[in-house]
Amino acid sequence: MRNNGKSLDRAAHILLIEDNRMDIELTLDAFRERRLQNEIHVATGGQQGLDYLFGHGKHCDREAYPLPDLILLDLKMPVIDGHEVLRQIKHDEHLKTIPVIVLTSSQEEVDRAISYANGANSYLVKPVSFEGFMGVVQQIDSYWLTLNVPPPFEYTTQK
Amino acid sequence: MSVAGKNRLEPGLVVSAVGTILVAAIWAGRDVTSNGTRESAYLWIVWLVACAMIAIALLSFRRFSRQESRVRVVEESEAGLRQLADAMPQLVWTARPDGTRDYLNQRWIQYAGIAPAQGDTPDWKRAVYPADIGAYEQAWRSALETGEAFDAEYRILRARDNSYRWHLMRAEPIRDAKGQITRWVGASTDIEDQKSAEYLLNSLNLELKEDVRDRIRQLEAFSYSVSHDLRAPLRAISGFAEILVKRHGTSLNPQGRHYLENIVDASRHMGALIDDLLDYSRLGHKAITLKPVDLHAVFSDVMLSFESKAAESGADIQVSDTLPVASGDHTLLTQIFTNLLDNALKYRRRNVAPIIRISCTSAESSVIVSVSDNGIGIAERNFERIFKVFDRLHSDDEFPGTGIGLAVVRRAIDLIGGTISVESQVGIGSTFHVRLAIRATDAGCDLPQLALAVSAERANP
Repeated sequence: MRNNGKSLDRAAHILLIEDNRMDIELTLDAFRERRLQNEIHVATGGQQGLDYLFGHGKHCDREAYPLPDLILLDLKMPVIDGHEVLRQIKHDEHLKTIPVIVLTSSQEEVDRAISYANGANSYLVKPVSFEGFMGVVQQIDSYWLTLNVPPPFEYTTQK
Repeated sequence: MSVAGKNRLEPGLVVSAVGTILVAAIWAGRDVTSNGTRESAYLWIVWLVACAMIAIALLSFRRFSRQESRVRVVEESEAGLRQLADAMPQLVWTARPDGTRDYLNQRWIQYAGIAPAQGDTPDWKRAVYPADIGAYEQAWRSALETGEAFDAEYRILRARDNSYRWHLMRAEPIRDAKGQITRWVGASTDIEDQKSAEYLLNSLNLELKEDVRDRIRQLEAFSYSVSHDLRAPLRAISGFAEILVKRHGTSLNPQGRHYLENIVDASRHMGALIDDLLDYSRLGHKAITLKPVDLHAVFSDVMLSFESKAAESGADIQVSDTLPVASGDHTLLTQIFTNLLDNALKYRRRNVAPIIRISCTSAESSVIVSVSDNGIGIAERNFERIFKVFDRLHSDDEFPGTGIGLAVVRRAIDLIGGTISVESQVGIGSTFHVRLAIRATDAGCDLPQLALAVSAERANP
């Protein structure tokens, strides 16, 4: 499971942090539709996302809940929103190397500004149409999981 | 005020007294020494001298009495002035050239309740609000140095209700014929009522500003919610409808498929509506700083997004290469011309390849950028309607749209201080003229670092 300056040579693990049931379903569907061989783990809110990443409770089992190679993060979630999740990820020595893609409906300047200020690696606006959404999913796969060379494995597995 | 020399021995009087004694002596001794020519010649000389002395005495007496009357006039006029000052509702004072106050009018004394000790000028500073004394004295000192009139505002204790009230004071120097300051005269007016009105106005103004800010925050929160909360369910509707069409289309009869396609179309349209409405509402509370914007940069951005659309419709689009730098905002100008170009492409005549020209003409301190097309044209009666939100001239089947584009254009142009007009003939084409100020200063805006702003605009469009 080691990469040597190359892109991933295995199915990537993606953590989707999203509270909207339908958006989760659409995202999973889009990945399935594109026949992308990735393993998608879903956290249904900000708190769940942090529990997963910081290995709280059942998530300490890294076999069943491995640290992801990529995080897809929604912004507007109750209690702990995406901005807070992102802030905590990027403030953590080990988690901060995981690329985070903000995937949101919001085109607001303020959301973009805060996301990048908090260290987001990418900011994508969810298209309304499913066709467009599939296009976005395809691009995520081809850029972040195929073309992009991830950080050395140790960095993200020490935790 | 004392008159110099009043008690001194007047030389004219002395001369006249001596003259009179001489005349009397000559008269008395006339019979005794009236014989002999030498004595008579001597007498004549004494006569002449005596007469001259009397004449001098008379002249000098006249001058003396005139001087005395002048002193009287000054004293009388001073008394009159004080009477006048005492009758005035303002607090009046006078000061010597060195700045010491030597007179306060009755109104001053009564207002502040500062009765003077016998013959002294009352201690007026006692009545001034302690915190205001410092600034006042500083202004007073510099006025004494420069000899210029000065204004000051300070609070004076009103004895009647023991309250400090704001006063506006003005002091002027009085100069003699040589320009030397002989005195200062000052008067102050109670401006407490104006002051408190001003204070009330200011606090109301602040309240109002806070209120407006609050409303803007509410609006922003609203548009944020619209942006996110309306789109999420819409994405579910259109997403699942698309999946249904795609994967389960075959298990539906044609009518079922048609209904599903309608759902997909309608949700797409609604998505466009939400986006356009958001654009429009954002413009309502956008804070704009006008900057010089290179219109070439704007059009290269606009054209980039039109490349594929233009190629698709076989359009011939030409942009003038003499576009100037105009006052505005890069994002808004891009939005304006994207919308205009979008319309020029969309409202084309069937089977006629669109020809679109972007040209510019300079007018005095402004520039007119014109976007003309050979499309379907607009009837003159509709020239106003097209700029209204949701007001459309065509059905969605003829020309799909949200009816917001030109409303956004007009609002954006208003924001950057420009104007828009339209010229059109049905079946021939339309031209939209956008008038922009050339320099931001002409639009009434401050423009620091003009060159810098332009280069930044170019580097980071």
